Amino acid sequence: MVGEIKICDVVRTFVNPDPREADVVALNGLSLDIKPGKFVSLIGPSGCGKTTLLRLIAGLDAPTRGALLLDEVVIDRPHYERGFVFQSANLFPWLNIRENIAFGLRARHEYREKKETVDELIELVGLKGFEKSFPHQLSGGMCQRVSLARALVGHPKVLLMDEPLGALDAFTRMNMQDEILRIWSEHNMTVVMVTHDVDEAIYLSDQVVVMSPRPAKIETIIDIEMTRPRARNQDDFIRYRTEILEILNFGGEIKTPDYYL
Amino acid sequence: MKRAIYYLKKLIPILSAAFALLLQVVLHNSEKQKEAERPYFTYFLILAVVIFLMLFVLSFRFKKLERKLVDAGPFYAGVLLFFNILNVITAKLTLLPALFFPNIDRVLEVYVTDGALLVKCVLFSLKLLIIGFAWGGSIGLTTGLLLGFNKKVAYWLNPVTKVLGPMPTTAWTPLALSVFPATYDASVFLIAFAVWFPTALMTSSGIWATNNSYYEVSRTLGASTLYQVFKVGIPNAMPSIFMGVFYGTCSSFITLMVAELMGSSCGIGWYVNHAKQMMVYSGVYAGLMIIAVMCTTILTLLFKMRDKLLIWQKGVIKW
Repeated sequence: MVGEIKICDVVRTFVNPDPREADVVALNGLSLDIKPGKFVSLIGPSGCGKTTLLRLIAGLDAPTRGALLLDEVVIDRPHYERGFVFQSANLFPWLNIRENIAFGLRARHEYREKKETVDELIELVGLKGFEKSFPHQLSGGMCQRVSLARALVGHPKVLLMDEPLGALDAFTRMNMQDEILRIWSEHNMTVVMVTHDVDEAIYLSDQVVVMSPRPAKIETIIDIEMTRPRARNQDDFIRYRTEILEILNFGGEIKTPDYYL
Repeated sequence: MKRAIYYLKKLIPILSAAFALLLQVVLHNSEKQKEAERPYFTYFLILAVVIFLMLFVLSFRFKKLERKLVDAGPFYAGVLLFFNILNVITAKLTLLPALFFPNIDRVLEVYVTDGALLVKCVLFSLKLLIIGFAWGGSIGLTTGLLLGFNKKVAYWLNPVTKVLGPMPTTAWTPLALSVFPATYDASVFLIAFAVWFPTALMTSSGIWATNNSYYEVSRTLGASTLYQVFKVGIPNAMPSIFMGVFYGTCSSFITLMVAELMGSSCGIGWYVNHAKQMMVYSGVYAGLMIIAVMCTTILTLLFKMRDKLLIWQKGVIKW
């Protein structure tokens, strides 16, 4: 089984453009092992460095210190074995749906041999009949499916998702969660997903990694031991939710914020 | 009632043409106007009646034609009415100075008597325009791409473009005429210059405006830098590049006219000026009409091309 991610003592500081101000430490010595084939969610307060961590795994950003490894190989640049789904679909508006999905194959000059994978993926994400449409003709949910299919076209070992459902309405969101689970179970791969939604994290993941505010460190890793399909009103589900919310400081007692809106 | 209006819309161009024909034949031409060899406006109106009659008949067979005719009928009727009024004012009543406002017969006569020269002039102008456009467009595109993708080039070239670009092209005319060996080359240079700046500017700004996440997406999908340039940067900048070409084309028309006024001895711009100097104002009008048709045809072709090329974009400029 492939797709094991090792994050070893990673530091990422962002240099402040104003030299009088202190640099921003987004990640301070973070370590995490992600087992192959697992579905892992990163959850935590906004601005805590979840996205930074995900971008580091993708290779879109480089750590200031420390290293990230995928199957014992150092990650130092983006590679299609690590697919990335952005919060907004970011489809290329000048390409139709089929060409958007085929983009990776064409870029790697593999299109001729692997043409069928494009059709398979169109089928997989349920967009048959929309191949010739352009992104502006599609709804937000459909666009996000295309974006998912586009990331899957190289059969990645790891799928990284940065709040992929954040911009969708509640119903589309729940449908998409089931689709993501289905695609994950069909495609043998490790999934790392950033989310703000505690329910989404519990519904989907094998492990929920709860992170603390900046500089981010890992607060707890919670193994979700529930069989799928999971019901959102199950006792265990509610127990996990309470647990996570308490860690995130939203349970019971109200902490007075040190700022005013 | 609705049906009557529907038929009227198809019929009204015929009625308008017939009415104009009636006035043209019944009213006598004023003595103050020089008479044309033949009544060309009468021929024109007869032709209009015949054509619209044919369209009317054919519209019963072809549904698409019928829809078009119903839609455009009142407009064509209006155009014919305009010519009718113009004809009455100039030819019949001579309400305006006869020298500057010749009657329509005489304007149309120019196309018959001067036809060969006009064709030669149009071809000359088109050739000048195409060669100048090809130079200016290709250099502009190259400049724009270099500015857009290469930081070093942008550092040195951007200020130069910013200083030279906004200068009105026609300001170069005296220099161009003395530097280039032939007027023709000077004209090509001026037109190329007029196209170059907007193309370069809009190309580079289109590329600078590319959303960085498109590049990030393509990097995670395994695209090389060169692939990103040609398959992300350039397609993304296409609408903007098109705008640059459009602005360039418009300013190349202006430059063409100016270039032909200076020392040229052919071309449609030259023809208009020449006719004016000969005090043949019918020639001026005939030439202006041709320029209008030429420019609008070129822009229409340009927009047709855009619709093909930028099918993914929702219409930004309507044409």
